[in-house]
Amino acid sequence: MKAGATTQLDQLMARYLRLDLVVPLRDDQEISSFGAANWRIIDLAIAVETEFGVPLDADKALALKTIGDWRALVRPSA
Amino acid sequence: MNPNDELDSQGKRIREASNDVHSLHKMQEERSDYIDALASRIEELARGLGCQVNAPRADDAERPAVDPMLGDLVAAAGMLSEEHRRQLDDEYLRSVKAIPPMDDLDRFVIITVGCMAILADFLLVGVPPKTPWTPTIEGGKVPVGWLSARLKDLRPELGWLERLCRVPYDKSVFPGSDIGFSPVNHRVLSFGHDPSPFGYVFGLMDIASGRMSGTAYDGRVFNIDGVSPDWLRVCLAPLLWLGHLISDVATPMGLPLPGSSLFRILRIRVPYAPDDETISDVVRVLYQQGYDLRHYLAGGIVPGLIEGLIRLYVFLRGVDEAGEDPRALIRANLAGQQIARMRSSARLSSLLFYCHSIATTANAGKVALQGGATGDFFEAARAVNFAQWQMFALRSVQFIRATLRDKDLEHAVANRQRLEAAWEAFELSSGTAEVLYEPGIVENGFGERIIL
Repeated sequence: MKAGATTQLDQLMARYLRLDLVVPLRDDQEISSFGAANWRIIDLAIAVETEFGVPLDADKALALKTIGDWRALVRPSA
Repeated sequence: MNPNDELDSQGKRIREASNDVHSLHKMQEERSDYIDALASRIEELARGLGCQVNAPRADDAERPAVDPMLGDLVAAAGMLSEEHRRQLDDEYLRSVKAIPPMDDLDRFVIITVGCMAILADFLLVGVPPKTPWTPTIEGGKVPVGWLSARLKDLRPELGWLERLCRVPYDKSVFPGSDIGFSPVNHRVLSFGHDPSPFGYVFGLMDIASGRMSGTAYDGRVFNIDGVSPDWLRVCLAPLLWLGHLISDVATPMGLPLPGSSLFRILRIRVPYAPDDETISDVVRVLYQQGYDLRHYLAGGIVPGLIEGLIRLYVFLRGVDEAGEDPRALIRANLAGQQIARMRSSARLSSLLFYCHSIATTANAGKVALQGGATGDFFEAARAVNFAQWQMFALRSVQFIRATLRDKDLEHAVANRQRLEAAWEAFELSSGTAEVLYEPGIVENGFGERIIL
């Protein structure tokens, strides 16, 4: 279940942050290292809120610095 | 016949006639002198015979004091050089300006109304209130618009209308799809929620077909199955479409801007936008950040203020001018009335254009100020007053049309009126044509002063 949520989250990240998931994402990877603009991260947050029911907003989403932060966010609800 | 050739031939005819009249005038004068000489001789012979005789002299009426055909006029008509003709043509074309010149009161009103519009744009419209999806960015100089905030505070209870006007394109979640729908953005992504003729057409098609059409989060067009249509809903489709829009307008996210669906289709990169953003993305993100129909309507206060005040001013001045001579328009012929209407319309177009130019330039300044202060593309874009820019585009087109309109009738009437005035002056002056060619500032027949 947890793995499924992570996989789904990774897919959302790949879609909204335009990542090529040839190599699996690691928890310690910085979101800023992908070079995505803030509006793309906010799009990801909207999708995460819709898909996982996690309450989010723009400021909270921009405060999540690493892949691990995002994964931690969706795990309790998964 | 070429007008210049015609002018040449008429000039020659006038010159020949003038020469003939001049010869006759000379002969008549010689005959009068001869008669006078004979009369003097008769009187002298009578005195020699010791009697007095008063012999009749030539009648004053037979001795014209002034040459009836004026040499300078003849020369003007018959011996015009190319340069002189060009000058006359130029003078003819300059006799009527496309846009009636403004006076000091016009300028004062434009600047005053422009300043009021700038204040309204800054304080009443400002930027839209934040949504949860608007990031907090420090340093913004433009405040949240007072009117925009008040409009968004209005939350009438319209749940009954929403239940009554259910439509197939209102689904907000498609789990597992790559469309990117969510309750936050489903209205800007579906065509049926667009409050424009485009949205109306697609909304009706969706209601009739039971399908849902729109664009995915990245601008891809989609059309997916929805619910089976029922005949009652199909028959009431226009009412359902309108009722559903009304039920959505005062919700937290509101409705997208009119025509947003069309822009959502445009997957064209926006210059200076971050991260390869397209027009489609900008429209969606602006909506997510609170730029909805209510803020657009609040923005309408600026062009509305300009239109209302300028039209009121033109109306009041029009009444005032007519009050000076209310019979003038009645006396005017059909061409005169048409010209009066055209020039009045051109004047209104120019006043509106200049005033909207001030307001739009100020809005561009507002956008630059907010963008410069925050360094954020969307903070700057949220300060754009789309209603003002739309009205500016419309008035610019009307102003250009007024400038480029066919002015032949106006030229002809203005020149005729000027010639009539000049002939009157010519008749009053004892016969010099110089009054016809006096340079300087003249009135063009419409009461407008032009420099020749």
